[in-house]
Amino acid sequence: MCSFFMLNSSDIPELGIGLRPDHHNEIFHDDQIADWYEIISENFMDSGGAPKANLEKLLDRFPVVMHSTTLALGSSDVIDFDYLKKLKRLARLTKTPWISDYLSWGRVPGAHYHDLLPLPFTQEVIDYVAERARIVQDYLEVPFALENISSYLEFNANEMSEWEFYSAVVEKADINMALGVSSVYISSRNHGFDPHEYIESIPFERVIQICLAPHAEKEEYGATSCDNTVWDLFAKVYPKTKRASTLLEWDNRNISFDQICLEVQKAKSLQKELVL
Amino acid sequence: MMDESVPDELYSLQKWFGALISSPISELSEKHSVPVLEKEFGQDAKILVSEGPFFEPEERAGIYRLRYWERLLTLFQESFPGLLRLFGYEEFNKRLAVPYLMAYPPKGWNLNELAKGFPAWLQDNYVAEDCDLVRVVAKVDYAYDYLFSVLDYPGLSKVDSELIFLQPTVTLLKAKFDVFTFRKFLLEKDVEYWTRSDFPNVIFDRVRYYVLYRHQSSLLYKEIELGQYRLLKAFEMGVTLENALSVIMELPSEERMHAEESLGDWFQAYSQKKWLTTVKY
Repeated sequence: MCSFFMLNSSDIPELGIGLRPDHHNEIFHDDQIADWYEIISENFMDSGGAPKANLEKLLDRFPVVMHSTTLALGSSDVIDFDYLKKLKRLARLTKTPWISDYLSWGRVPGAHYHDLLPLPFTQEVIDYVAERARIVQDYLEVPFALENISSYLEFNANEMSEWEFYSAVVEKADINMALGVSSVYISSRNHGFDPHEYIESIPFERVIQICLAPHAEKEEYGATSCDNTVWDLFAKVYPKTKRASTLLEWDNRNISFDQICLEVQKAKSLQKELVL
Repeated sequence: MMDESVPDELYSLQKWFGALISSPISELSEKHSVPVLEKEFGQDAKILVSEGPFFEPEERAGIYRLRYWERLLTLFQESFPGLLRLFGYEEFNKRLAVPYLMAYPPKGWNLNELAKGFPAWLQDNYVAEDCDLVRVVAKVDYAYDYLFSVLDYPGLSKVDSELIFLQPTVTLLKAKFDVFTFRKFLLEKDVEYWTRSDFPNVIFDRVRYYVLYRHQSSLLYKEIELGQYRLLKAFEMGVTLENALSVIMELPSEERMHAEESLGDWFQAYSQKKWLTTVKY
């Protein structure tokens, strides 16, 4: 029996979208199109002025889920408890049902690279990262999930596949997964593995959130994300996850609010079909 | 500080990779081209990084270096839109952003802190005929960027003998020309426009004192008198009310008389706008 922070399926809002400043007006004034909105924690942790005012408006109307990007869990630097303290304070304000960050590194003592850098997939690193993830979840007192990154390189030191590494870290730390389906696809292109094998080999019961960037058409150093493949991967993994909450995101790409509404409708219809 | 439980091999790998991605890059303007690494990094990359379907090991590592610099330079360009228009992309990166970021790379999680030391760095490192103009435009750019989201604190409730501070949402500036009008002209056109056009004429006619502040979510500025500038400047470092008022006594006689007459109105305005706090930050 798992002891990790479990949520009942009724506690989990079904579909969320990433909050984008250029859509604040529609989001604050239109009907609710999503069940929840994802915020990037760092944008609100030390902020007053417009960011704070916008967060207050959002919290008045919608559930919010926090996603962080700079914890850099796999780094050789000590865990930054000043950062975690601010993250926890924000979590109490937003009442986020869980917090996610990436399975990556990005800091060494004295430097922060502000990137999602890949880790070597070794048993030694599993032990190291899992212990730190467990500490983070214990400190935050909120379910914690790790998201896989899209990567452009792998190390010769690797002892296993990415999905074996990812699964082992979350199992050992007893935490959740925020499965980035689009990242699986991009990494599969960059490293030449089968994305279906990846998503069929993970512990589905730990997937608390599925992240989809279906609109990503930009060519990125060789790999091109593709609508159909990403949706196919989602269709395979979603039914196995006990209705994990789904996040639609568009990174920094220009997309109109009307396009977002269409994508949300598409995702909601698919969710319904898949659980029938 | 290093985590004592980090595996040695992981630490070595991260130190090497960090040095690689933060080393200067020569092909900054060519987005999404994969730069070739220098020999020392390239040889290590062949040993440590596996080959992929599209790229060689050293090219794959090079992608991360490109991303590091693109991210920081884009952020820096967005933080200093006036300065960017004065220099153009290439000169801005080469003469200002890259040297500064090499000297002061990001150390913490908050990227809003990245440009914090830049105005002071410019003061020490940028020496040219136009340095007065460049330095003050940089200060105004930075102030707009910083004031947008900085945390504020409760306004004054009681004064007594406590130290009083200027809120972080209030910045004081001094310029020998009308910097806000000049900057407004610059921002009306894009960077490329200014690389092929003359800048608006700058008249260095007199010293102007400004306060730039956040009101609700808007950023506003106004020109203020010398007396008010000195008074608010005293609060920047934290001062008791009594000592702040002594600043007024040191003003030239005409300014001092005006300041003495205006003090009540000034403090009423500071109170309404919550420009002062007793919280030390």
